[in-house]
Parts: sequence; C-alpha cells; structure tokens
Amino acid sequence: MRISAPARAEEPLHIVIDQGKVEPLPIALPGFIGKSQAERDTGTNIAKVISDDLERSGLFRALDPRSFIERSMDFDTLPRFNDWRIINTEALVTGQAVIQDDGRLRVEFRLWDVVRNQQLRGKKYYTTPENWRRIAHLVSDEIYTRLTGETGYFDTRVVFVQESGSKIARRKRLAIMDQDGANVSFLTDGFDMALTPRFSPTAQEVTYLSYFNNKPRVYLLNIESGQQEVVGDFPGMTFAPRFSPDGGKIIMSLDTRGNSDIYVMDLRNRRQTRLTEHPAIDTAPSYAPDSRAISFESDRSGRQQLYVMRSDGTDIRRISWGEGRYATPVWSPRGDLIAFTKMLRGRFYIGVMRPDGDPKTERLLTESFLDEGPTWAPNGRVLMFFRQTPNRRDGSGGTVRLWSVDLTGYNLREVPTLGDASDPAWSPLIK
Amino acid sequence: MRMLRLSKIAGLAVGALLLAACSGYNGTSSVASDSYADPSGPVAGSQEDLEANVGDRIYFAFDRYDLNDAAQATLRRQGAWMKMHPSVTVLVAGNCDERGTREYNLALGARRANSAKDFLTSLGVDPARVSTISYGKERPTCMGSNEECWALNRNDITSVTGGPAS
Amino acid sequence: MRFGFFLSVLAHVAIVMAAVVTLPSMFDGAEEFQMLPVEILEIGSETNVRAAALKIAEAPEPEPVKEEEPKFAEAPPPPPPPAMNEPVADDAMPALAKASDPKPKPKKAEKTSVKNTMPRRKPKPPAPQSKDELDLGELQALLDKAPKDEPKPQPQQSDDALDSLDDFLAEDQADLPRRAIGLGDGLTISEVDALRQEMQKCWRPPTGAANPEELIVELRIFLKEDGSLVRAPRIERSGTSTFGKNSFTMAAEEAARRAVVMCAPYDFLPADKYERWKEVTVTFDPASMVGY
Repeated sequence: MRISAPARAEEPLHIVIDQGKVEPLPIALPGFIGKSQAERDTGTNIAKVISDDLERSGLFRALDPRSFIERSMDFDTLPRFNDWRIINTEALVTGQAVIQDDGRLRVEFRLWDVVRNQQLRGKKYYTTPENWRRIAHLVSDEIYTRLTGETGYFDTRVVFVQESGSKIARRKRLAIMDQDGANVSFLTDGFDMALTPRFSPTAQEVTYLSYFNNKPRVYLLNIESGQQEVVGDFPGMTFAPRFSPDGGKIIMSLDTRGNSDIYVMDLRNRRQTRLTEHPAIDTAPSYAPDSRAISFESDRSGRQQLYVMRSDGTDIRRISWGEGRYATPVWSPRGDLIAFTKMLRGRFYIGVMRPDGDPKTERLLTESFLDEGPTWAPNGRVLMFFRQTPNRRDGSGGTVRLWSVDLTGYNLREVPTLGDASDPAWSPLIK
Repeated sequence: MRMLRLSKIAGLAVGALLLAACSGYNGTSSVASDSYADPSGPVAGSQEDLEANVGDRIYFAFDRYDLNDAAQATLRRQGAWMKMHPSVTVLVAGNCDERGTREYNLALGARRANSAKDFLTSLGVDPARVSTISYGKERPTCMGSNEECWALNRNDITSVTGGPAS
Repeated sequence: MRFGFFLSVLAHVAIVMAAVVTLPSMFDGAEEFQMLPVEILEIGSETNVRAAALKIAEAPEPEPVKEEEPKFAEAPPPPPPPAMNEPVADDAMPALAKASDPKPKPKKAEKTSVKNTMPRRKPKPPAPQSKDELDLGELQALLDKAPKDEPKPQPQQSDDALDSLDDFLAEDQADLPRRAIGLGDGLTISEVDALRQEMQKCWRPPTGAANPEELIVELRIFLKEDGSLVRAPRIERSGTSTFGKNSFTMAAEEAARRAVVMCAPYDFLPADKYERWKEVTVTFDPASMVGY
C-alpha cells in the first residue's frame, strides 16, 4: 500500500503496485490444425492434452473454444489479435500437426501474447505419430515456462504403487505413468509386495522396497530392461531408500534387531557407510539437492520429528518444533523447502518448512484422515502425495488415491489412476 | 527352501482370495475347512496347536513396543511350548495400525517383533529358532478404520516355520 | 451340481497352478517400457509469419526479443537483428538435446532454414508506433462501459487509503493544495490511488517463485491526453538477481507490461493535470504476493 506522490513537478509520477490478481491466466488453445483427418485428430488431441496440463497447474484457465471468434487459422499467418483480446484471453497458442512423407509426425506451435501482439515462443517437434502425447507435454512445458518463469514439469512421469485386492490381502505392484495419469504400465507383477519406489536422477532406474522371498530389502530396478538387484548385503531389513542427487548412492534405513539407523551405499564401489547410530528409529532420509545435507525423521526425542545432518552424518539438528509428530521429510529440488507429513490429534497433514527449522516458516497445505508421503515435481512448485479415506467397519468404502497440490496450498486435485494407488514419486525432468 | 515354500503358501492364499469373489465358493469353502477339523485336535507343535493352545499373537499400545502383562504371559507360554517342541522354528511378524507413516511403521513393526524375540530369548529359547519380520501397516488383520481394529492390528503374530508338523 | 463342483475344482486347480507357476518369474512381469525420442527445433518469431490479409496497422510493434539476452535491459533494446528470430534449425539434432540449448545459432539457421516450410521474411518496417496501441485503446474503450471523461468509481478503496493516510495528507496540506487546479499541480492521493487500483486489477504477479524479491520490475509509461499509451511501456529496472536475466525475470517483466497495456486507457485521470501524469513510473513488486 505504498504510494509516493511526486514531490516536484519535474519528476514523473511514481506508483508502486504490490497487490495483484491471483487468478489463472486465461489462455486460448484452438485445436492444432492439419490437412488430413488424421492430422486434425492428432492436432485436436494435442491441444486437449496441453489445455488439460495447463489447467491442472492451476495457473491457467483454458477458454471454451466455443467463444473463439477467429476460426480458420493459418499457422503461418498472424492471428487477428483483436478477435482474441475481445474474448478476454491474454495468451493464444496456435499449432499444426503434419504427418510427413517419411511417416514422421511434425508438430509446430506458436505462443502469442495477444495483449502486446507478439510471438513469445515457437518450436517444432519431430517424432513418431504415436508419440504425440509426449509432444503435447513438451509444448505445455514451453508455454508454462514462458509465461510463469518456472521450469515446466509436464513431460515427467510418476512411479507409484498400484493397490488392489481386499484390505487384508492387499496386492501392491509398482507402476509408472505420465504425470497426468496417462500411459500406465506395470514394473512388477505384484506377487511380492512392493513399496516406496523412488526415481534415480536420470529417471532410468527406480529404487524400492520388495518383499521378495518374504525378505524386505531395498532393490534397484532398471525401468527399460526390467533387470533388478538387491542393494547391498545387509543382515536385516533395508527400507526407505532414496537416491543421492548424482545417482551414485542410495541412502536408506537398515533395521538390526529392532533398531533402525541410516546407511548410505555407494553404487560404484559397493561400500556401505553408517550415518546415524542411535537406539531411536532413524528413517525416511532425503538428500538436499546440493548433496551436502540429509534430512530424516527420528523418534529420538520421544516421538517422530524431523532432523537435518551433514551428509557424513555429523551435526544433527532438529528442525521440527510444532505440535504433533512429523515424518517423511523430502527436500525440494529447489533446495528452499522441505515437505513433510504431519500427524496431529488424529489428522494427517502435508506441509512445508524451511530447512533451517524456523518454526514460523512451517505451512500446512493439506489435511485429511490420512495424507502421506509428499513428492516434489522437478520444478519444486507442485507436490504429489497419497490420501487414504477411512474404511467402514467391514473394510469397504475406503480408498487410497494420488493427489497433487500447489506449493501455495491452492489447486488440490486428485490425479487420475485406475483404482487405488499410493507412494507416488515424481520423476526428475526427462532428458 | 523354507522361504520359498512359504511364498507358495502365500500364493495359494492369494489364489484362494481371488476365488473368494467367485460365486459358489461357499460350498467349496466348507469342504476345505472340514478337512482341517480333526477330532483328535491339532498336531502337537503345529501352527494350529500354537493358535489353539498357546496363543499366536500379542498386542501393543499406540506407537509403543513394550510388552504389557498379557503379552508377557503369552510369550511365556510360547517359550515353554518351544522348549517342549525343540525342533520348532518360528517367525514373529510385527504389525502396526494405519495411523502412522509407512516407513516409520516398518521400523516400529521391526521393534515390536524384536521385543518378542528378545523376551523369548531371555526365557532360554535359542535365538536362531526365532526369526523376525516387519510388515509395518501393510498386513492388517482387521479392516475397519476404527479404534477397535487399530488395537487388533498393533500386534506380533507368531507363525511356525519349521518343526515336527512341517 | 456335480458338474458345477467339478468345474469349481478345476478352476481352483488352475488358479493354484497359475500362482505356483508365476512364482519363479517374479521379476520378468514388467511390461515393455520405451522412451521415444523427440526432435525439437525452434520456430522463429513473428518475422516468419505472413501478415496475410492484415492491415499494416495491425502489424505488431516489434518488441525487443529478450529471450537469449545475457544481461539486464536497462532501456528497451533496439529491435533484434533478424537472425535472432530465425529458427535454430539443425536437422540431425539428437532428441531433446536442443530443448535446453540457450544459444541461438544464427549462421546455421540462415542456411538450414531455407528448407523451412515457412517463408522467411524480412522484418517489417516498424509500423507507426502508436497505431497499434491506439487500436488497443479503442478496444478497451469499447469494452469499458464507464463514461470516458469521468473517473471510474473507486470509492471504498480510495476512501480507505485516504483514511490511512490522514497524517500524510495533514502534513502535506500546507504546501500541496489537494484539489487545486492547474498545470504543474500534483494529483490528489485518491487520483493516484485510482491509477494504482486500476493497474493492480490487471496485474497477475508471479506467485510461488523462490525469490520474489528478485522479480521487482519498474516500468516507465507514456500516456496521451486521453489516457491511452503513447507507446509500449519501457523497462526501467528489472530484477535484483545477481545471476542476470532468467526465465523468472523475463516472465515478471512481461506480466508487468501486459498489466499496463491491458488496463489502458487510463481515461479517468484528470485532464487538467495531464502534465503530471503524461509520464509515470510504476514499480511492480510481487514480494507480498507469494505464499511465503
């Protein structure tokens, strides 16, 4: 609310704007054009996926195509900006899909600022026709980045646990999908219980907990080859694995005779190093993006709380000081925040706080009967987690699903899955 | 080998559960359970013997792994029973209710299983005969989301993995 | 009944067999998973586009292309050389590698863009600069039902601001007659406030950014007597980041400029004090708008 009236006539009037509108940016996405029916279909599908991506981010509002005035558009012609401004859009995306003589699909798009009458972005992509969805996500990323400044996260995947069967004999298998819920495929057959998958920084591998042979151990799975191996040679249960930011190490908990401590295993030389040594439960480790620090949870104070230590295990500091129990700290890829699960008076919350543990920085984003296990989109702007609803007395009624929420706490949405799903882990940006 | 066999049993259980959805299962079910009904009682040293005459599970308070009086009494009976059947080996599985986070509950289940193992060992049972596993909150025995179910799901379940009956 | 029982037994056996058979092959159940390559090329900016069937008046004012600029723009840079806008074409480009390549390769583009399906055109001579903004102004005026020469009603907000600024006013009243009329006289607080209110209605600040304090943008705007823009707003100051311009500062600049353009014309400003508002600097400060 600062206002500075001019003191002297020579100086121009100066005003400060520190309040704005927090509403999604209106954007128009006519179907990408094409000459043949196949091209037009692909173009329509691409525009729909982009529109859904942007809407789901909560930062954009895709306008109803029925309101569009300019209809027949040529990709290489300037849009009639007035026709778009008059329907109150601020951005316009035009595009075309071409199936070339060599059989490849070419997709081109232009992003227009219709307020200032200029092209902001233009790109073309070549791929195989069945890969149109990926191109749509790449275009969404471009639009999102150009208009918000944030790195896009639409061309990413999510690995998660697909749940099926009765609540007592639950079948849990690893699955992978695009971040919008499309293209689901299974990574394990579900015969052995699989839990807590996490991506490697290249998104080529997943580390997770498998009950193969009824021995809970951390495994490393190559997504493309399907090959996997047990990580390390530990005497007891290993669990809660997570990759180091460079992908060279896996950090996890090892249980020996009822005591869980944190270990790190170097994947190159197979060396195992113990990082914590305390009779309390130490688990859910997560590296800072610069690899210098590790966050984890421990009940060494008497109940679950969050801690940060140097990556060699020294200088352990508690960072959670609020009421209740805190769990599953996950460092943001941006490094500025740690997301966590909080339990207080029978309710579960997803929240974020700064790694320095300043209690004033704690913000709770969601609340329900059971919200658990946040994972960050690679731009550090969106969180995904799973939400379980209570079962009735006979075990029916309860569901467990994936949800996403913006860092600001807005835009809470269910991520579409086929049936029950839990333990989501967002992939890094796919290179 | 034992583990593999256990997995197979688990496989059968899954198969049976899949079939539970079939119509007409009820008839077969009664046939199957009839075959277990042995008028002379369960084989000594078997899982059925443990469940019927000793007690195969103990319960814990919320977020706790210490053994209350009832738990200690059950474990004393289990210890005596294991001495009576010296070839029996067991697996103690620690379980938790759904009101905690997954990874913490895996650790807590391990603590609970280990509490029982330590107690049995203190009674003179060879630790090599008692293995442990944690299922965290993944293997509830009671399905509802209510205090009664949660209390039942905070447990250790002992199962026979080897011995005269196997 | 007996047949049904037989079938049931058969089914049970089959399922048990299936369960046992699947046992050894626990890890090869994964379905084929393949990552498909995508090639990406840049498409040039508006210079590639035919302005078919468009009046020259509607040609976009060439905005400086700041995308690849390494430094802050102190003042609006001159229209970019055409090469900046050309497609970065590199046919044998490996999948996705180009997507993050920030460097334009103008020379290569010159050559390879020949096979581009889009006709290359020289940049249009800058259209009469104010024309486009004039069109926009007219459009806004059409959309705006408020009578042209009266200030738009901003009663509540203005009054609030006035209340909270009583002290300020009391101090100033001696040498700054509030409702005085005449060239060179200052605007009243409520007049300034009306302008501020109007602009913040159009401004969509960057929220959720890691360092919002680095996204402060200061624009200088030049207004005609009817309140419309003389030309596109000029960036006076942008970003305090030591890392130079990035996608965040760029998006912040554009959001600020869009706000100013979108809200024009500022026809509620008192015509008799035109000298005081023909030039205005506006600071857009998102710091208080972020979740933190």
